[in-house]
Amino acid sequence: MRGSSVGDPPCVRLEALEVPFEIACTGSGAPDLARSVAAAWDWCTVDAPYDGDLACVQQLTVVLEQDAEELARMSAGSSLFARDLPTLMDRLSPMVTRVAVNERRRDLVMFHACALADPVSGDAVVLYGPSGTGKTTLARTLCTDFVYLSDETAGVAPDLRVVPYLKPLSIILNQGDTLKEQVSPGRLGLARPEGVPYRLRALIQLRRDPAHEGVATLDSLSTVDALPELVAQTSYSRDFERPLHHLADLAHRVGGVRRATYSEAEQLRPVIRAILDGDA
Amino acid sequence: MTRARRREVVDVYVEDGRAAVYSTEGMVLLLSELATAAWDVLGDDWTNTEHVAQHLVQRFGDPGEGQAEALTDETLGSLAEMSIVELEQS
Repeated sequence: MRGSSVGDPPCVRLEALEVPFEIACTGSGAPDLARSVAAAWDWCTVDAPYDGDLACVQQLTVVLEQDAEELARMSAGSSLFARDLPTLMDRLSPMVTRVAVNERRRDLVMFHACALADPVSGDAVVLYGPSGTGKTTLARTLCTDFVYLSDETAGVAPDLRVVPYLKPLSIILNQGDTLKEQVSPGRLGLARPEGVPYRLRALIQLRRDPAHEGVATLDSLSTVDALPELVAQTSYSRDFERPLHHLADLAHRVGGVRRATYSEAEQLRPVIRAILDGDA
Repeated sequence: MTRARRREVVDVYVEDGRAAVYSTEGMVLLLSELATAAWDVLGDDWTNTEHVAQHLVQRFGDPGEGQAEALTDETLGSLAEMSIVELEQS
């Protein structure tokens, strides 16, 4: 967190999917907002100014202002504004994700997925599925052993490198809360990437079945059967040249798509362990 | 007489006789073997549905009692509903 000179609003620098952001926090609540953003996004923050093309830096201006008249005045030209901190934090996360995904749409395949990896080998598993299939819960449960790469967007480069997106996890902490709290993965005790390259080893389609008992089951899907859901959970797939072939090729390079059926996150731990050990 | 032709699609991927079709409406549709074979016969120009039926009979056998034409019409009708085939009475 910084203010470049006296009078400048506090600003948080971070990277999302390797896209540099500067989040200027303004309004009477700016100090609290900047502290909260820096704390929740601590695994994404960077200290030094971006040393590449400054035009690549995504500038977001976020306003936290309780006074309605002042908020109306300040909201013009802002990226995001609200009168209370929880609302602002809840809305900031999808905005950063949306901007970052848009910026990487030409060079990454980005799945709506939880991504995790073996801390030693760097082999990574991408578990994709629509909202409600438990991706955040999976990350929260399994990434105490496996390295946390994302609970929402897994970016895969042409060389199969998985780009970490170490965003805060969006969690409803108290029953009845309508807004999710943005919690740093470090605060949840998750394992942080150590700088080794992470390489995609498996693509797993999530199927949550509340009636499922025992260890999660893993079924191989034919690529043609996997494609509808794979496309549905891939951002900007239509921008690829021959998108079905593009995704099919990616799937073939990691041995095809498998579907994991489970009810509780813990049921997936042995299955993922086996995949990463080459036993499944 | 009915004739049919393909509508523009984003991409088609075929594996083991079944196609996934990415429509311009942004949907990926999974076709049966029969529908894939019917789709395969069609092109950008109009094709009589009788010709499509003949092809399907060659490929899958004759269901008999005039059922080939009915099944072909049903299949092409489904593809038209998915907006990946255009039908026209001529």
